[in-house]
Amino acid sequence: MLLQLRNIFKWVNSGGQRLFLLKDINLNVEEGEFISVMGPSGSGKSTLLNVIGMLDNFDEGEYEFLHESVHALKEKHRANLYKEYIGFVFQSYHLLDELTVKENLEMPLLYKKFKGTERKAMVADMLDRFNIVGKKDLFPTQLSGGQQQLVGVARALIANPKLILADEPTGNLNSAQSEEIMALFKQLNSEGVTIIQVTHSEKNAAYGSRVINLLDGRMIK
Amino acid sequence: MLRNYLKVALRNILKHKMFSLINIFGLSVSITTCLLIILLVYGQKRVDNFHEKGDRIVRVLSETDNGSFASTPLPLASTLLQGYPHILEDAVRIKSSFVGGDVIYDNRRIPLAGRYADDSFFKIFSFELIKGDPATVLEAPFSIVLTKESSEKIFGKEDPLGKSVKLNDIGLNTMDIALIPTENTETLIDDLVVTGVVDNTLSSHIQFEFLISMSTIPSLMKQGKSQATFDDWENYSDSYLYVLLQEGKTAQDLAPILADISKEKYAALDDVNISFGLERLSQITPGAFRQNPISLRMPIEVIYFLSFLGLVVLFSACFNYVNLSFARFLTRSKEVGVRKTMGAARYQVFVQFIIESVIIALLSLVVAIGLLQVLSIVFLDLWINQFLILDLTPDLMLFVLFIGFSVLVGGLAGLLPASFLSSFSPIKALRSFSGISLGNGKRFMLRKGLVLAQFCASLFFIITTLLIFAQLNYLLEKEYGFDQGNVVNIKLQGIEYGTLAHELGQNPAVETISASSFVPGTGGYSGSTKVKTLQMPDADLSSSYIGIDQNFIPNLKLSLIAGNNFSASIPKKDETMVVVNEALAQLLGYKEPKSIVGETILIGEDQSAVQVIGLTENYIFDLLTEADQDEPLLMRYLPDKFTYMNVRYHPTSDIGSMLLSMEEKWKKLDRVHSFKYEIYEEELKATNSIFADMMYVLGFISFLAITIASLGLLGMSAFTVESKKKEIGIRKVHGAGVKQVALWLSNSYLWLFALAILITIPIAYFMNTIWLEEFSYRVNFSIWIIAAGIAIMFVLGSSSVLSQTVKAAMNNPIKGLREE
Ligand SMILES: Nc1ncnc2c1ncn2[C@@H]1O[C@H](COP(=O)(O)OP(=O)(O)OP(=O)(O)O)[C@@H](O)[C@H]1O
Ligand SMILES: [Mg+2]
Repeated sequence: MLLQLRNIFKWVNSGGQRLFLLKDINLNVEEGEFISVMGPSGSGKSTLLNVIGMLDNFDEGEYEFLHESVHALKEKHRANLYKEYIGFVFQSYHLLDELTVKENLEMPLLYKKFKGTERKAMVADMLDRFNIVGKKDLFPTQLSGGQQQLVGVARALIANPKLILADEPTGNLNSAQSEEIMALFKQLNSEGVTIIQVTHSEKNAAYGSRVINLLDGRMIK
Repeated sequence: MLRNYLKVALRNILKHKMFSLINIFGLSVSITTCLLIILLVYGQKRVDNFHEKGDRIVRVLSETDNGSFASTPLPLASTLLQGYPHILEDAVRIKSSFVGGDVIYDNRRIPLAGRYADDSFFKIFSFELIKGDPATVLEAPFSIVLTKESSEKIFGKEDPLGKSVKLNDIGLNTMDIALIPTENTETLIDDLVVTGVVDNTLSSHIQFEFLISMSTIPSLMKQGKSQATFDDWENYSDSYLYVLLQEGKTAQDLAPILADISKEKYAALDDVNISFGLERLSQITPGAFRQNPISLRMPIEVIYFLSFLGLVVLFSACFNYVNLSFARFLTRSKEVGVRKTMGAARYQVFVQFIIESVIIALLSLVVAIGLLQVLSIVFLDLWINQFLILDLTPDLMLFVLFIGFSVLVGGLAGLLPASFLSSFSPIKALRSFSGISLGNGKRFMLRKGLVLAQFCASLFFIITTLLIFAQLNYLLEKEYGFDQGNVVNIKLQGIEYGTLAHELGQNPAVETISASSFVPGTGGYSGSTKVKTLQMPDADLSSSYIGIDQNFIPNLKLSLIAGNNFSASIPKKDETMVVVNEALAQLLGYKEPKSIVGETILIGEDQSAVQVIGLTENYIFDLLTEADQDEPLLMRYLPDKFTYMNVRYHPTSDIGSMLLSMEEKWKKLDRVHSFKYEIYEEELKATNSIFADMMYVLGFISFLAITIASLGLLGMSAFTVESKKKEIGIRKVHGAGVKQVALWLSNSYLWLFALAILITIPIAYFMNTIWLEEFSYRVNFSIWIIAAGIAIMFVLGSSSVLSQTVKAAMNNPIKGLREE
C-alpha cells in the first residue's frame, strides 16, 4: 500500500461557523494505480490533492504514507518524505520565468542534494525523453502552453517520484496537447509510477484505472 | 546551488531594472557616506599608532573645577620620576606655550612654530630621527631638532647638523588659525644649535615644526627672557606630561599615586584643587575634548555627530530597500510557492533572498567606491578640515572593512523581506499569486503601510532640512549690533597705538580710528572679571570685558542708549569709569537698565569702585556659535591692553591703495613684523564659514535622504501600478478614460498623504525642537516651515505618483490582461 487516508476532515472557520472543505475522506492507494479525481467546481478536488501532497494540513483523521503516520510527523520529516517520493504538476504550469527550460528542470534536483554531474545527466535524459532538447535554453515565456506543460511534467518526473500529483494538468491545453500528456502519464504508469490526477474531462479520466467522485468535500460512490 | 542563486539574483536584478536602479542608487550613496565616516574614524585610529612603546604611554590630565585639562603642573614629572621608579620608566614634559616666530639663518627668515620638550622625548615616542642620537638630541641647552620639512626650508640641501640659528619668538603656533591671539611681545633666542632632524610625516596628535630642549628655559630665565614656573604646583596649564610605564604596569597602578600627590599638594589650599586623571595614548585620538589641548583635533563629539548623520542616510536607504523589496518580493510569491513545492526548505528560500540582497549591496559598494573618490575631494576642501588631523589614504584593511560593511548592510536590509517571504506556505504563496490576490486584505494593508511609512519619512526629512537651513541662514545673516562695513582691523603687534594712529590716520581714505583689546565677533577674548554693586555685595556675577578707547563706540556705531562715551581727556591710568551693556545692567538687578548710569559698581578681585558713565545696547562680541542672548560686557578704557586698531575708511575710497600706503608706513615703524590686517566684514564671514560648511554637509546629507525617499515613493507607486495592471486593463476595456484611471489610482495616495501629515508633524516638531533649543539665537519654528515642507512633499510625491499612474493609465489595456 502506498498511502491511506482514514476519516480525514478539513475545515475553515467562517463567521463563527465551520465550513467543511473535506468531510470524512477514506482512501487507499496502491502502488501503480492511476486515479482520476472528478467533481464539480468547488467540490474540494484541489484541496484533497494538496492534502495528499502534504502541502496543506487537515484538521482530523489519519494519513499514512509508506507506513509513516503523516499526521504525527514533524514538519521537517514530512517535507523530506514529500521531497523524496512526490512530484507535482500544476494546472497553470508554474514554471519560473527567470530560469531557462534546462534550469527549471534542474531546480528540484538542487533541493534534493544531487551532485552536479548527476544533475546534468538527469536533465539531459529528461530533455531527450520529452523531445525538448532544442528548447533547453529558452525561457518559459518563449514556449507555447503545451510546451510549458510538458516542461512542468518533466520537472515533476525528474527526481523519479513514486507518486505524481497532477491538478488539472491539461486544463489550459487543446485536445491534441492533452492527449499527448495523457499518453505520457499512461506510459509512466505502466513503468510503475503511481498517478493521481484531477480532471473535469471524462476522456482524460478514462486513461485512469479508477475514478473518485467528490461532491461538497465528500466522496461519493 | 550558489551558482543557481546568483544566476536567479542577477536575472531578477536585470529584469526589474527600475527597482534595481533605485535600490543600488540609494544604497550606494548612503554606503558612500558611511564609508567616508569609516575612513574618518579609521584615520583617527591611525593617529599615533606608530609608537613602539605606545601601549605603555599615558598622558596625565588635570581635573579641575573648570574642566578636564590636557596640561599639568611642571614639577609633577620630577616628583613622579624620583618617587616611583618601580612604576615609571620615564616621563616627558612638553611646554604648553608655543615657541615660534622667524627662524633666522644667514639672511633667511622662515616663520616656524615648535615646542620645548624634555630630552626623553625621543626615548618615549617613536618619531624617527633621520639625523642625531635619540638619547641626546634634546639634552644640552639651546639644542634644536628640526623636522625634515623645516630643515629643508631653512638649509635647503645643506647638512643642518651643528649649524646655529636664531629664533625670534613671538609665540607663533602650529594651530595655524588666527582665532587665538598670540603674544604681543617678542624674545630673541640666540644661537640654537641644530642637533637632529626628525621625520614627522606619520600622523600624531603632537604637532611641531621643531623641538627645543627644555633645559634651554633655565638659561633663558637667567637672561631674563622667560618666566617659567618649574616649582609652581598651582599652575596646571604650563606643560603636558606623558609618562612611560614600566613593563607590566598599567594606568591603574599609577592612579593611586597621583591621588596621593594631589592630596599632599592641594589639600591645604582653598582655591586650588586639582586631581590627576590618566589617558592612554590610544585614547587621545579620537578622544574626549580636553581644555588647553596640545593640538586642535576633531572632538569625538563631531565623530559621533557625523556617524549619526551617516546612520540617518543609511537608515533611509535601508528603509527604502526593505520597502521596495517587500513590494517586489510580493510579486515573487509564486516563485516561493513553486520552489517550496519542488522541495526547497524555508532556510533555502531565505538564503536565496538574502544573497540577492547582498549582491545588490555589493554592486552598490562598487558604485560607492567611485563616488567616494569624488566626495573625498570635496570633503577635504572643507574649512573645518583645518582642525582635523585627517588622513584619507586607503589600505587593504579598509577594503576588507568596506566589503564586510556592505555585506552586513545587504544582509540586514534583506533580513525582513527574506524572512517574511520564506515563511509563506507553498499553498498560500501560490494562491496569493492567482486571481484572488487582488482582494487579499493583508497584502493590501501591507502595501498601504509601506507607502505611508515612505511618506512619513520623506516629510520628516524635508521639514527637518528646511528648519536646519532656516537656522543656519539666520545665524549667517544675524546682525551683530555694530557696523562692520568699511572697517579694517590692524594688529598692533607691539607698536604703541598712538604712534601708529598718528601715522596711518593721515591717509585721506581714513575716516575714523579706534583701538580695542580684541575684535568683537572673531573669537578674541580679553578675560572676565567679577562685578558687584554696593547694594548687592554678594552678587556672584562674572562679566567679560573689552578694552577700548574713546573712539571705539562711535567708530563701530554701537548704539549708546544712555549716558556718555569716554571723554577725550580720560586719564590713561587709574580706571574710574566704565561703559556697560544692557545685559550687565539687568543682571545687576536694574529693572530699568538706564538707571545704572551714574551708579558705582565694584569690579575685579580687589573690588575697585568705578562709575558707570554709559549704557550700550547688547551686541554680539563672542563667536556666533557661542554667543548668548544676554551676555554681560564691560567696556573699559584700558590703553595697556590695546591689541588692535580699528580703521573706518570712506566707503568710496580704494582700499587696495589705502592698505598699500599703510603697509609702507608700517614698514618704517616696524622692521621685524609684517603688516597684518583683516577686513572686518570678510573676517566675520570667514569666522562663520563653519556654518556654511555645516550647511554644505547637512545640505548634502538631506539631499541624499530626500532623494532616496522620493525614489522610494517612485518605486512604491511603480509597484502598485504594476500589481494593478490587470485591474487597469479591465477598467479600460469597460470604457474608463486615462484621466479616470489615473485619478482612481492616485486617489488612495491622497488619503495616505493626509494621514502621513497627521503622524509626522508632531514628531518632526518635537524632535527638531530638541536640537533647536540648544541655540541661544534661533529661528522661530513657524507654521510656514511646516507648510513649505508639506508643499514640497506634495510636489515631490504627486510627481512621482502621477508619473507612474498616468503612464499606466495610457498603456494599451490588452497588454495588462495578457500578461496575467
Ligand atoms: N483557505 C480557504 N479558505 C476558505 N475557503 C477555502 C479555502 N481553500 C479552499 N476553500 C474553498 O473550498 C472549496 C474547495 O476548493 P477547491 O480549490 O478544492 O475546489 P476544486 O474542487 O479544486 O474546484 P475547481 O474545480 O474549481 O478547481 C471551495 O469552495 C473554496 O472556496
Ligand atoms: Mg481546483
